[in-house]
Amino acid sequence: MNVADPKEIFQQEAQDLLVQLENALLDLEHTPHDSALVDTAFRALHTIKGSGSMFGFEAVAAFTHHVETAFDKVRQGTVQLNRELIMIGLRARDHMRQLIEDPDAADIADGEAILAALSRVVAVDQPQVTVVSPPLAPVVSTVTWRVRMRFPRDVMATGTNPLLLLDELRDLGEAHVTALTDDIPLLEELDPTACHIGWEIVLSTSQPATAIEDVFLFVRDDMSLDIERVDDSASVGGLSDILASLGEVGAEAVLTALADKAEQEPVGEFPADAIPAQPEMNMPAQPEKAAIVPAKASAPATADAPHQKREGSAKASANSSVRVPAERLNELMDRVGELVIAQSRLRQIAANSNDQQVKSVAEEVERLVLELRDTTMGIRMVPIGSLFGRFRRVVHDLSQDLGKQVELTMEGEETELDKTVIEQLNDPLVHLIRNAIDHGLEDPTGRAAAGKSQMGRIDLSARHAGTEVLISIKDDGRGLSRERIRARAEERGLLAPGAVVSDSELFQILFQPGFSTAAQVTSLSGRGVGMDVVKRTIEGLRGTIDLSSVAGQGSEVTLRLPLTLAIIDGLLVRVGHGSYVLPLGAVEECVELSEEEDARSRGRSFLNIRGELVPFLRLRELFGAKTPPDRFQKIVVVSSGDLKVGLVVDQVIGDHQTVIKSLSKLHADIEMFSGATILGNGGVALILDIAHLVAFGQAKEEQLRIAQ
Amino acid sequence: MPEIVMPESVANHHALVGPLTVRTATQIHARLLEAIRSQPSISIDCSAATEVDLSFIQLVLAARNSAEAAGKSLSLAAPASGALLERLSQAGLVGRAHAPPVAGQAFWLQQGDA
Amino acid sequence: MAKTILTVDDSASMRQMIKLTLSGAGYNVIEAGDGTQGLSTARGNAVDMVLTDLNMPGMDGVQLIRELRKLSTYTGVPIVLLTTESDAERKQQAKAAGATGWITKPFQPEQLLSVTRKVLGQ
Repeated sequence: MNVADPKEIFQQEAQDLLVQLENALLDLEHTPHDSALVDTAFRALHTIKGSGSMFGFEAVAAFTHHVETAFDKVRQGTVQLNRELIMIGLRARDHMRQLIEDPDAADIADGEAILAALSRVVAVDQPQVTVVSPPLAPVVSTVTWRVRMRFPRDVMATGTNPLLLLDELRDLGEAHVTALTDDIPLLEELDPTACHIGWEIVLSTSQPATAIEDVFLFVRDDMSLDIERVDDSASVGGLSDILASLGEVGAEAVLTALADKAEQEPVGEFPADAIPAQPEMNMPAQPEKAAIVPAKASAPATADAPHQKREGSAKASANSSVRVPAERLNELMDRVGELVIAQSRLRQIAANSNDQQVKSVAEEVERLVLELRDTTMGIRMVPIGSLFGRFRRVVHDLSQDLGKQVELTMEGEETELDKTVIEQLNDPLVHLIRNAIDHGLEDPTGRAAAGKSQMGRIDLSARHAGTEVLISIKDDGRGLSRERIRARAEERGLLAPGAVVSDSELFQILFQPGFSTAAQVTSLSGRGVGMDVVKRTIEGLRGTIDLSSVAGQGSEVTLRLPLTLAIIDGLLVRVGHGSYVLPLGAVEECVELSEEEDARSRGRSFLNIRGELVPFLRLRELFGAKTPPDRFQKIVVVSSGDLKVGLVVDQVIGDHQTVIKSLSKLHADIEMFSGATILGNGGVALILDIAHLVAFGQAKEEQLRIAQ
Repeated sequence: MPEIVMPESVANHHALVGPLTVRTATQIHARLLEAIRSQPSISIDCSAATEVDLSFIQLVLAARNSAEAAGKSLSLAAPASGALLERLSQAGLVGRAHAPPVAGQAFWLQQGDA
Repeated sequence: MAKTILTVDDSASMRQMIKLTLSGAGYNVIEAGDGTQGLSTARGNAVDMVLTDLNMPGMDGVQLIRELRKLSTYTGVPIVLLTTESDAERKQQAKAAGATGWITKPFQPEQLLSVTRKVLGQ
């Protein structure tokens, strides 16, 4: 059995709980009276505390205890949830995360400050020093007790076996058990599951009376239990009297009991101060009993149906999922990649074979490999909602800091994307959101002046488009100022003064290193890490970034990302001697380049496709192919965003399962290629970076147009 | 169709099988009630019991009370053994092995005149 | 025959700890992640003891106990709660619903075993 370390499981689980807590707190900011949300927050705190202390995270447990207490008070209605408490809750959550991830690095003073703030708001009990009195010196002396008991009627039905409790008493010492059966009614009147039998036990034990009471711990509150110390001076004769007085004890029993007694220590000789005073025995043994309060109307668990539903479905999926170390997943992906390569070799062999059996097996294998590939890729897919969720906090904190009211909406959280891609998207998206709030949205006065509502909007959305995922960050702020961008670009020498540029070209300048239009550097953005880093990261993920803006109405940044980084369906083409792969998702169509058209287009490189002018690139020229061109050249029309470009190749070989191997560092800056793949015959083909080729083709076309 | 008349000794013999616990107490209760109502003497056979708990002991004691009140007789088909004997001894209704007898144990162990 | 214990807890780490402790002591442990799942697992299996958390999303521990006690097959089956000091009120509700006993978190594996032995017998 593969047993995971509960500590690690706790850490993972705590992360999930902290996310739940954070979301609940953020939601509570809008709906502070939502008891289901309070419950969720409380439950998360409760579990972190409970499990934390079990798995050695005492600091977390101790800290969380106070926060939990506060939220329990909210739950019970004794403390009103306000903004301040939510803010403290969020800070506490961050501190808990620290304590869980790296307890040594956690700032103790910070934790204390949070608790101090918390106690100001809810008057939480200060941490108490428990005074542990030194244990009394053990006095081994046997005392005889008479224990009389009647269990609650439903004792058996509720799972307690009275006979086991009698056995426990027997374990404490020498016990003489007498059943009291007088209360058993006639069969007609008997409730067959109720307990009508009582017991009287004479117990001689060296254990304290509390040990006797502890036996009845679970039923103590509801039963009648008398523990009576048999007279101090109980001599041997006294004991026999007691036994005899029970009535149902035979003379023989007394004698046997006495014989046993004689072997033990004398009953009567023990220091009187070692015995707890009588009244104590009727005191509750469990401290929590004193804390029991009458049932209050606790928060209804069924409130807020939609919230409940969301939580429920998340729970269901959490239950049926298995956590797997990422490295194992990567290994699996590598194996599948190798299998895909081997399979394409098999396909080639089968294609050249006349053996029908080989052909049919090859087809079968191909189908299975494709399914396996899809399944494996599916494993890596994670809903982007997990990433989006984090931004709520970013927006919340930022709107506080900047004094701007911001409403964040999210759409398409269920859109799935490769986990590696998602992880790398965090920083760029945070940056874009910060930008949107900091630079995009006006302050309340500015918004009022512009006739907009006080509350600024940030719309975050994700959706699938073919083999890509589109993520958009949209704000309803002031929009990009062309004049300012232009001025800054010219000032920085990024744009020739007076140059004619389109909007999209102008906006692309924003992504150039060292460009910033922020008049003042705030703590949030405009601090070196700029849009150029965002762009680089996105391109590193084989994605592209588009920017659009309407003055006075807001801006929208759209990221286009491939679904996965590992495998793509490609179109294999030949240019000269070289093989190249085009991502199939980007391929629009393949057309033949007739000789006339070829000759005619020598001057200008564009093609008329159903009335649309599409620039095209001769890859032979681009790659410097030395071989004579094929007689019938083909044009593969590829698209990136709204732009299209035709690529002239010698031959279209066919579709190809492409396992992407990244290029060595040496080649990494060759922008034309995004990677390489191994072909069925063992050769290598470079994968063309469509976004770059399209941009390059369009730019070239532009230059030609301008030159004319 | 001729009526099948069971010999009294067979009709009175109540074999209780399987678990005789609080989970099955309600059924056993009904069965014993019917037996006492319809038969002058009842013999309970629990040699095929797989599990016995206090609720069964209590049922038999209550049944004995009822039988006595109705002037009927109720006894075990055989001296208590196995799980039943063990529970009786735990409950203090039968003396432990090598221990002195307990009042009332004669009924369970079919000693003497019970 | 090994006794079967059903552990119902939304915390995977708690379930893991419970499973390790109890199966190490020879018990057969089956798991459920919340009350609803616990109830259906309880219905589909012969269980000798149920160990349930109180605070769970959806059907909580108190509701689970109520539902289990409605089933004739769970009459007399010990149901032990995992609770905390601060849960006094809910613990009372759970007891009223038919809980057999409780273990206060945090607890050591030894405590879990001792309570298990207490309600199931040695």
